[in-house]
Amino acid sequence: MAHTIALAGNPNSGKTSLFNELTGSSQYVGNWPGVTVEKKEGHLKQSKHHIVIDLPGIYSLSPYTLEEVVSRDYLIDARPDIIINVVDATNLERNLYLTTQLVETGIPVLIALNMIDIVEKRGDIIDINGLAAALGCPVIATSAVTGKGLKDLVKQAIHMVDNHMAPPISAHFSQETEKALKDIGSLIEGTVPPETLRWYIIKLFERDQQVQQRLDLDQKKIAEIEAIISATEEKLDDSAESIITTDRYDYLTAIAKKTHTQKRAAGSLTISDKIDRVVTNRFLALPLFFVIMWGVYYVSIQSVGELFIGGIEWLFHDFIGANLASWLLSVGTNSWLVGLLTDGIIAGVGAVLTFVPQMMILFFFLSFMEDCGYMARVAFIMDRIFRKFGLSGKSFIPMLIGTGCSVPAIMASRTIENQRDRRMTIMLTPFIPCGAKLPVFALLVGAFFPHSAWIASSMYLVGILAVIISGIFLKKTKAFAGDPAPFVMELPPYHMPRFKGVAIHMWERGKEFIKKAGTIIAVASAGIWILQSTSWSFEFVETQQSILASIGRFIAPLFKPLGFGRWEVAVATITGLLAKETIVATFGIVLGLGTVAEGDPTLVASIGSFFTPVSAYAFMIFTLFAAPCVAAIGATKREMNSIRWTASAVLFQTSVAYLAALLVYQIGSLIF
Amino acid sequence: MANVIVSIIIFGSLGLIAYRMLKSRKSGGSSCHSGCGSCPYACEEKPEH
Repeated sequence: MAHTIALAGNPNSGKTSLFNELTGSSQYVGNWPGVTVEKKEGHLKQSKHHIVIDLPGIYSLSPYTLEEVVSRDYLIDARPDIIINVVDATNLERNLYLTTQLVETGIPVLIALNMIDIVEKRGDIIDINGLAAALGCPVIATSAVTGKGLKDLVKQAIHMVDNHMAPPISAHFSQETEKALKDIGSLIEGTVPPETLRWYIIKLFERDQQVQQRLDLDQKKIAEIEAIISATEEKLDDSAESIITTDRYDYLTAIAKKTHTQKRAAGSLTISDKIDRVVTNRFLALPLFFVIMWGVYYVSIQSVGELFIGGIEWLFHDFIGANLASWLLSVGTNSWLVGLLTDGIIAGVGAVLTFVPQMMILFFFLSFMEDCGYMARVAFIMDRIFRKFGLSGKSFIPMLIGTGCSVPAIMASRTIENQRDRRMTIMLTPFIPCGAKLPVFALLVGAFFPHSAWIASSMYLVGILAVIISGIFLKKTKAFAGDPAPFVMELPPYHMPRFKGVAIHMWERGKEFIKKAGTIIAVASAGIWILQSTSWSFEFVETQQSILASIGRFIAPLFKPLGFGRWEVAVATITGLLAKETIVATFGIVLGLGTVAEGDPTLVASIGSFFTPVSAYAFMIFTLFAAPCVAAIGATKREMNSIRWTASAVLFQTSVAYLAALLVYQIGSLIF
Repeated sequence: MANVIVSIIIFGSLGLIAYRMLKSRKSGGSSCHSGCGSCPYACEEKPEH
């Protein structure tokens, strides 16, 4: 029978890093709190009989947030064999607050005193044995980043599971509180398993509604419990919840005093504090963020990223495409089959893969900013701005995730408790340019703005601006009116990311992009080539007489006011619904370019007849805001659980796209 | 003969890709393009990416 080991701890205490080290998996690790939304599962590397569960980061077992509900329900209902409580050693007292609640569940607890390397670097001392004795459970000093203590942790965990170790001792509260808890205990004894009795008693004392419902107590008992709580509140002149919190902290302060020696004087600034004075400065924060994003996009798309394009273009167009075509024709293959393979599939996939280096470099920088702790500051900065416009900073976390892909970003909006804010976040998150839109921007920037340093980076800034403006607009409507939800976020200390960690992030994101090119883009490219080569009577015809051209001509007038009324471009906006990269694949196939890159005279000549610089920018704006791909629309439907709301979101996004592109083109044409 | 072999390779591969994509979606799998490794959300049923 498999044994389960649950990893529980505060947000950003390093649970997922530990989970990856213990199980050998590569789950997403982000240097901001709240990265894990749902529990994750994996086998211990050393033993297939031990399952490790990574629970979302929580501060307490009170049911205030989705993460807390997920973790608490799992611990109480599934009852793992042991809990490894991951404690951030740099924030000992606050992290142990959760520990006091975990031990009350009656499940054996093993403490992983994580980030011990940082504690040592600071010159602080933690008396591990003293801490273990005070808490009544084993404590192992670990560093998930360096791997220190992990072997001992696993050994101890397996030992505890195999020997059915007894649960640790619970925190002892003040005399008055303990008396009240004892009285409540006598009322519910026998209705819950004895090992969980203490936890239920405390939750009832805290007036936890979910626990009350779960126990299904009769009215008489509820009244008796309420009388005990009220009497204690009166005696201690405090609310029940606050009494428990104060008692827990009194208990922990006493433990910390005995076991933790800090070198740094209280109130003195750490290096992170000093950096934050500049990075989160009221006046400097935003310009600094824009400069950083400008630099990231400029380097990724217009300088370093471009260096690799020539090689990939040669690979797909001159080497694979040309050689395969001549060989297939030489062995007697029908020319249309050769066309489908080389001018359709290879041209479409190659056009998309041309931009892989740029994507990889962008992902590298975004991962670096995330891992070092800067992105958490961005959420904090954005909260300050968003709040002024009625949005919560909580909405910015999904938007950060959205720089990779809108689908998990939309899913991450689940953590927003307020339904209005959640719906609004789902609607606005796709405005942040995802990785799939990058090839479209890179293509047009390469063709029309090769020497302009701000066009590519402006997409990110315009995206944020659109979120703010749309937020202001939507908040004025009845469906979204209301104050933004409070946003509390602990800023992790800055640290130099490990190259391996950043490289894994970059590769994980880039790998899926490549995989997508080999699947959905390949199928779409074949479909587009067939549609652009055949007529409605299924005969091979010139592109201008094809099915694709007739569909394109039908919808093209809609886009004429936006400056891109050619049927080829109109068709690309539709195929882009499959996946945004398909826009580039469509251009590659329809223009017969094979692969496209800056400096290619074929590209400039062909794309040049479709766009002017102004209409190219309008098209980029349209692509940025228009309805996302089908996968993201599907995610919207799942998260909103309403066809009406999903349709409203798609309509809103497309309307914003149309209006913004119209303004850009019409005003831009007057100026340039 | 060349036409038959090339047709089988092209349409077989495209068909297999399309089948796997549809199967994954029908079995409740996510159509997420981010990949589990770069996703903060753990799907209850792991999709085939």
